[in-house]
Amino acid sequence: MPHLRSKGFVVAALVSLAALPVTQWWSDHAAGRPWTGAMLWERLPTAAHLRAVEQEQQQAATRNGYVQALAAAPGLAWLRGADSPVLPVRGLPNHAGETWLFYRPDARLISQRPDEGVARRASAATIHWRDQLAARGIRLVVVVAPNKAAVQRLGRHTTAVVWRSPELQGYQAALAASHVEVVDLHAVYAAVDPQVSQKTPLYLPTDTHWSSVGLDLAAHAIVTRLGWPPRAGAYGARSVSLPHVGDLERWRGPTPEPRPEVVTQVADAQGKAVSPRPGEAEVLLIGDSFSRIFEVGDGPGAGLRSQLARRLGRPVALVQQDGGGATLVRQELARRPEWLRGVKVVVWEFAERDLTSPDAEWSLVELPR
Amino acid sequence: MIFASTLFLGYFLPLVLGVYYLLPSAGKWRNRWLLLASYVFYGWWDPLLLPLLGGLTLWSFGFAWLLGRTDYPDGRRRTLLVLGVSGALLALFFGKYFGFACENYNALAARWGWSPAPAVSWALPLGISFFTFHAISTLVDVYRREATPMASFADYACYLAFFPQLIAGPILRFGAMAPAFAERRHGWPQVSAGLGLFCLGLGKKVLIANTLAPVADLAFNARQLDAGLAWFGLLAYALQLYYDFSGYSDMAVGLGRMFGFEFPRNFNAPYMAESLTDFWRRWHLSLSAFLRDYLYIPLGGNRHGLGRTCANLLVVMLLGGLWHGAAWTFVVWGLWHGLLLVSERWLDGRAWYAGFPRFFRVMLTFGLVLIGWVFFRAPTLGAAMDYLRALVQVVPASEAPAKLLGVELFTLPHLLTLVAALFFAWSRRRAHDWSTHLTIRRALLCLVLLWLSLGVLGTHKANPFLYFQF
Repeated sequence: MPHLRSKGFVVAALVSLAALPVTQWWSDHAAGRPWTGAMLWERLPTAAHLRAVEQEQQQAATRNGYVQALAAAPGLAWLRGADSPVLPVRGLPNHAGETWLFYRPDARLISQRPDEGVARRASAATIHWRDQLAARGIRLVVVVAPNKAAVQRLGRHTTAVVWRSPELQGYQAALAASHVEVVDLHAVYAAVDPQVSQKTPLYLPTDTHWSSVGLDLAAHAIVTRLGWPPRAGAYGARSVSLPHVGDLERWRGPTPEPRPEVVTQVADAQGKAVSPRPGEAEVLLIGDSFSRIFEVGDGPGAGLRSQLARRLGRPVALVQQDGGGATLVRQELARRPEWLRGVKVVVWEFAERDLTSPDAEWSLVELPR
Repeated sequence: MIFASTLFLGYFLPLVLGVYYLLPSAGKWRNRWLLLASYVFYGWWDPLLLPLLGGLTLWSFGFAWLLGRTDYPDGRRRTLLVLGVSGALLALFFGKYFGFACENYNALAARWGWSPAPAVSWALPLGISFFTFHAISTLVDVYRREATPMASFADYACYLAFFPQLIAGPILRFGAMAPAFAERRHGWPQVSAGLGLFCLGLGKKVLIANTLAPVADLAFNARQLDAGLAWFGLLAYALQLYYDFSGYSDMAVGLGRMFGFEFPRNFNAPYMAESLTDFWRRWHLSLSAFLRDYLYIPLGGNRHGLGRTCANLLVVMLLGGLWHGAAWTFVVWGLWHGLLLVSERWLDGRAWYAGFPRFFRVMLTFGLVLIGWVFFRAPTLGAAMDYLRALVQVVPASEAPAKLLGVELFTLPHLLTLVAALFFAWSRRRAHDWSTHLTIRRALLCLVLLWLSLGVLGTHKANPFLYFQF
């Protein structure tokens, strides 16, 4: 009998293990993909190739129905919750009953020691970019969109409502020393009465980006920095409520619930949204998803570009790339120099994470002469 | 390839085990197959490392053969031993410590105006700390006539490269293991006991150590810490290290059993130790035994008075610390343990708190071990000192970095895993013994652990074992 028990256990355990490649082959076959195991023989077994095979094998398991069935065991997903990119936080001041979502890598850029070289590369690239534009007679205004977790107060006892990282401070100091114009949104948000900002949040509860309140404050600060007298009557504004699904909400679950968001929609006298193409306006906004939210795609002309246009009373063109505020948008401009024709000011917005994330790319971009 | 990966579990293990038992038990076929599998396993990291392993095998086999000759006088045998061991240590030095030595020399050179050494660095050859120790064990055991050299080069190569223990131990004494390569017992009970222990080890690694790993990583890389966060992170690291390494050891011992070998246990509830002396009788037993038999005793052990005994202890612990890694943090960790052991030796082998009730003895020992882990985990001595300061910073940090860290650390899964890990670390059950008599209930528990581990591994990237870096 003990022998039978041993045999039964050994067979069950080995079948459980051997089922991995068999089910993998089956799922690859069913999906019309080549069997992942065959990848091993495609090249000479160098360390790099063997690592790639290993990674592919690990990746393939995420498509394997057998493994997924095991992964669905009760409690397992909960135990591994820390792997999710979404960090849920309950009980924020004045939002006691709500769960606010934060982007975990962004939160870690604040809680963890940074790669200190990133901010140095960023300041060098910014000064170089300012010089490139200045050579064409174009003024540059830099806007760093604060990390949501740096602005949203996380607890009753948090003394600093807006966290200014040493990297940000170093970056701003380097730019100030080189006379680069910067709009300090951290200072702008820090000046907002905490009671007010908690009631009308500067950031969206289930999104990584700023709310209509936060982006309007940014637009106000940028316009103040530009110092141009506003042209009255060019654009009108009205408040509308939109169903909005936050990006964090989308990442978190398969069936996100839209939340109503009140935004300020901007339109000209004919009721048309602000939409000059690049090269058709004196002000060019370049940026990442902070410049996209409520403006492009899911928005109705209520984002940063529209608020800038409303406050300036003149059209503002937009070039934006999600996640590419630091370098990709500048490279895009270098490829399309005609977009800079007639431009007097470039407002350059990028996310604070680009100053601390080791993944941030900060290339020196040359504009064609 | 690591044990806790789908590649090893789904392909390598079933294939190697299946073919092994299809081969005839008589003759050398099974050892040859294990040798081939072990070289594939090691070469999987980087095929270019295979000549290093092969070269050291050839070197130590040759010297062991010479040392085994009965017609050589003692003086010649001693010279051969010194030569053979020096060769193995030289491989270890160049593989692991050369960059560290150059770095420190260059720091001194910059200060004193000497010409700097060329800046060279290469990746640590995986498992070199372990297989060089196996080679040294061979030479010393044969020199002491405690073992005879293996007649078959392939069998010896299999001993040195045997994949279950190749990368992170346990460190197997040649004298104890050599007979098993000639003859060993196989059967369903051995395989089931091995698989059972393997499943337990896998569960320890995947379900406990991997869950606690982010807690320790976040705490040790934090911008701001207070005492609460720092102690939580340190506790998580202590448990992660224990479950990671003891999990690996269980898997290694379990794999050994599947192929008919009985490896010694490597852990014996170390966090239940009542003194530091007791701790080293429970933690990484195979390393402790190696350092005792091949370093402490040859240095004179405790045979030349208290002063010499204490000096020997300090030397052994310093070198033991350095063995874990080429960094000053490991030296300080070894020194910390060395000083504590010396203090206990000074008090007739008892800790200063030996008169306290058992609970306090265990807690105080655990606390002293935790302080040592700060040096073990911190990337630099400066970072270790910062962390120690945070451990006594009672005023809660209130800025965003600490708040965010708290939100990430103090979650229910982390808290429950930590409590469960502490419970099992302080329980009387030992995986090594528990798995030798598998009842139906135990077998079912092992299967559940295996399935859960496969589920986790199938949805997340593999995490390497902590001891691989040593």
